[in-house]
Amino acid sequence: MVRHVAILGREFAIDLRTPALEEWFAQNWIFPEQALSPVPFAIALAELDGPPELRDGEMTHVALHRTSLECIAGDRCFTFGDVTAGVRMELDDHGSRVSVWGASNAASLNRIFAALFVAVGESMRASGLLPLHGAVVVDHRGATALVGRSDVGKSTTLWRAMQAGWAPLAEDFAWLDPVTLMVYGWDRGLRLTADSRTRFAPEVPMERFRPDDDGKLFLSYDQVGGVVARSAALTRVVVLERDAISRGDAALSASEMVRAWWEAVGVPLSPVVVARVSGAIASLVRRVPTQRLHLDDGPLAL
Amino acid sequence: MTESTGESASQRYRRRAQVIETDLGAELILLDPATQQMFTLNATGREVWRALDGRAVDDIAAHIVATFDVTREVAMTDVLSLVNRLVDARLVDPVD
Repeated sequence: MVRHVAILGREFAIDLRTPALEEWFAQNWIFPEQALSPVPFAIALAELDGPPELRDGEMTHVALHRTSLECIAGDRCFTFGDVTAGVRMELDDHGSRVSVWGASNAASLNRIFAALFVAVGESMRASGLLPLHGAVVVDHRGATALVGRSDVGKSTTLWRAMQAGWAPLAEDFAWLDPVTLMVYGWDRGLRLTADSRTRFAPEVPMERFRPDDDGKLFLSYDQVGGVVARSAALTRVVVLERDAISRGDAALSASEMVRAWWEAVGVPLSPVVVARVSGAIASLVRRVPTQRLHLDDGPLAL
Repeated sequence: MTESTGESASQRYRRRAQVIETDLGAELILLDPATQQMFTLNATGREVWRALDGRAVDDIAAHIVATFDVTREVAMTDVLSLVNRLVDARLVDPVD
């Protein structure tokens, strides 16, 4: 049975039958606190009994955080997987259709989940939002996004900012509306290593944490014990750097800002969406102050 | 014009499809996400980049002469120089 739900103002029509898919969708996409005004963009997510007609095409490599996927790419149609299990996304000007098949085969589930995240994420991009890969902290001025390469220290910087009185909004993922500059947290808590807990959160009782999939400790936002922000207006982007060779002026050149933004929002699959995101980034470079912060052991210069 | 310049002038080039353009108005920023190569173009460079759709260098130089206040010789030199740098950065491919 199809059920309808609004996610960040986009109307989803969801027809999933495999419980694991429903659980995945709820965990990754249902954030009731992030309610926006309706946007005229509809996303249909349907589970098929079998594969759609699969056509040959150019293979595209999609690099993800912990894995990678291959997909057959067209201008507006992308297919992951094969006849046994897979995901297809079809875009048009007013919405998208995401189809999934073979999810009853548990061995395929992780790759299906990864492909689904790409497909639904691309649909959200096509609707006008930008995924923001980074930590976000908030003070009286608004939201500051902490971006930079993987493992540069975004989460650690977030904890240091919290110690300095900032409120966390996102640890590693948020959605940004490039028109309004509102940023919406899209994770459910904070992670840290046991060593980092001793350093940054010694006062938080151990029983508030639970183990995360990657061996870190997870602290849900309702257990943080301080102020947590779930949305705020983006007022600044800080590009974190650690290499001595890159130590330099806080100011970034135009091309450095463009690179930082593309690294933070990722490159879409569809040329149509790439063009849209490119226009958004050009606007953001002009509107959002973006600076470099070299991380060292001194006070956090935020 | 030397023979080698003549060969270069007739060579055709095309932009790589995966290169991302970000238009900042005064500058056009090119980024190849696969290689992380970046390139910044001014107004003349932007016009050359747009013309790299399979056209020959001398056709592009003629387009630059028609668009900007520049002599054919200067346009030819500038276009060849820019195209060579774009090829080195793997943002442009020669067309057989």
